[in-house]
Amino acid sequence: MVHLYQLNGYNIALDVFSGSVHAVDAVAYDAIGLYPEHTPAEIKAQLLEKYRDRPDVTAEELDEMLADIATLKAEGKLFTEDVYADRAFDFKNRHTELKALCLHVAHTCNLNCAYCFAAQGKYHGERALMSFETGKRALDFLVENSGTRKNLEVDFFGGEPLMNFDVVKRLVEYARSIEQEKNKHFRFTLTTNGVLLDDEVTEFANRECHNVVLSLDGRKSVHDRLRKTVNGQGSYNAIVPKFQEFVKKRGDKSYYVRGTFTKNNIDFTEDIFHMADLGFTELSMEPVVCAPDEPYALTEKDLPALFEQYEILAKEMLKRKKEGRPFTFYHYMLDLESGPCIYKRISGCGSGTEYLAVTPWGELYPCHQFVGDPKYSMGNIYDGIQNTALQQEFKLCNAYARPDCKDCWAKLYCSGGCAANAYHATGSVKGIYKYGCELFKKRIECAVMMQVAELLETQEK
Amino acid sequence: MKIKVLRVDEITVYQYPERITSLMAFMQLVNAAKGRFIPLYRYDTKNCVPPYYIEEEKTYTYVNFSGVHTVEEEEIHVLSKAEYDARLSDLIETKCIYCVHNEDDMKDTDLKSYRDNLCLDGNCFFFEEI
Repeated sequence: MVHLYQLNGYNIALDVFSGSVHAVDAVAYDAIGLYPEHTPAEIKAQLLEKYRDRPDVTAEELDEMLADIATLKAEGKLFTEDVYADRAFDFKNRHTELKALCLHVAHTCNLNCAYCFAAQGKYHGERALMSFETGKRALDFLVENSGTRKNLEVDFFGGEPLMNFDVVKRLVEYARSIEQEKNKHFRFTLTTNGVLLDDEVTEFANRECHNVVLSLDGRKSVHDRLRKTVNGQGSYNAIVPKFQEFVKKRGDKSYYVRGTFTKNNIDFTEDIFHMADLGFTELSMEPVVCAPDEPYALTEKDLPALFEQYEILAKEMLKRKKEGRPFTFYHYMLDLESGPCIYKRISGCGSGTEYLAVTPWGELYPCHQFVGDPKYSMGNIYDGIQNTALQQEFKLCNAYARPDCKDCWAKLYCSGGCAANAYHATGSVKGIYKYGCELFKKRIECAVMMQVAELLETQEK
Repeated sequence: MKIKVLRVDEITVYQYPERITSLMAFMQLVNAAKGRFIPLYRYDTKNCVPPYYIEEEKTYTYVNFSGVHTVEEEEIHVLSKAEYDARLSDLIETKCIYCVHNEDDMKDTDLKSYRDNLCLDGNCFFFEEI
């Protein structure tokens, strides 16, 4: 399968199953498009007719080009066959050693963001803070179920995890204390709205956390419209200076400034550029996922404008990189040469298998987005996974398990997409969140284009 | 004018109620209210950068303190809108002209491009020297 598209003046052919990317001229672009359904003679005739005004497009040139295409095909770089489908169906036998936990240390929040999927941190339940004992048992559960894996990941999540900072600190201390004995290494991530970020948290997070996610929606007017306190006050002024100070002290350690865009800011690239101008260089911006009747919900009608925004973003990122003021965008970070293994590319994020969410009471869910939905309760950290049928369902939840993904060129990049989004959109984790698919595909197109642009520029130099 | 105010849950700033002049006295009022709502003026930050606030942009509101985590006292500057904008304009002339992000057409529409980020004390989230 080959995905052909034109973007930012480039003609790009993406060979889906080999992962090869070809940047070609217009004639070769047309030839590749015609190749599967036509003989070389037919292609030659059509192209000579189409390009009759171009003296450089001769029969000899076209013969040479068609021979190149045939060579690429023979070398497994173009029109490669799908050799992964059979492997995907072995997934029911795959090992599911635990790798990561999302620890919901606080089911409460000091902000009242209108679009919060967690219902202001409560996940449609009671406000609660995780006790140290529960968190400690969760870490032990992770170690006990991680098999031979050495590197384990723990996300401190909420609500707002800093509302339970003492427990976060004690859990990190406990985890570090058992690393040597258990032959494990913990990598911690903290996701925060920044309200409680102070010198102590900064020093702790920069010492202990492998990554920190800082929530900011961009421009003040955009951020303050939906990210408010319970009293209705916008939080931008309070958090931006804290984030700036935090990032300054973080040095070269990873972080993300992460935003959410909604119908209110279809021009969300302005918010990304705003973040970059504030001095943040590792950025992410996600489309809101909410009920379609919410006033800020994105709709099908917004798609063309959003596609345009992603193109604007890609072009501006290339421009700023040239100017010596680059920034990264999470969805454009694509490693075409040594990305994830094919196993990972088929199976996706590992929710419900390698990755679980733990509530303040120790219940287990496939991921944070399922927390509070009794249908998706998997068990608890004391008794382990009890809903094995559900675990089995998630084991088999991959790019090849979804019939709608069968003919999609992007399936080895999205791994079938987010199970939670699919569930919320269709009622099934094996469904398709079509809206998300469209945005995902556009982002991949942009990310590949950026790599083509940079590679060609390097070659020109 | 410099005044003492209440900062609630790290973010929201309220004027002390009439005849209440200290945090301790205010907390006595909160405790006496026993979970009932207390009327207060809230200083909004839509068009200013703390600790400078605009007098005309305070909102009369009823607050229930039973769900509040922290209340602190702090000092803020309160100016009339005219005075705030005049000082902001002056600052733009002396500070922003040295910033790489400054553009000539940014002073349009009620100084909007500046008032989100430039504080009257001269600090700016965006400032990057030319």
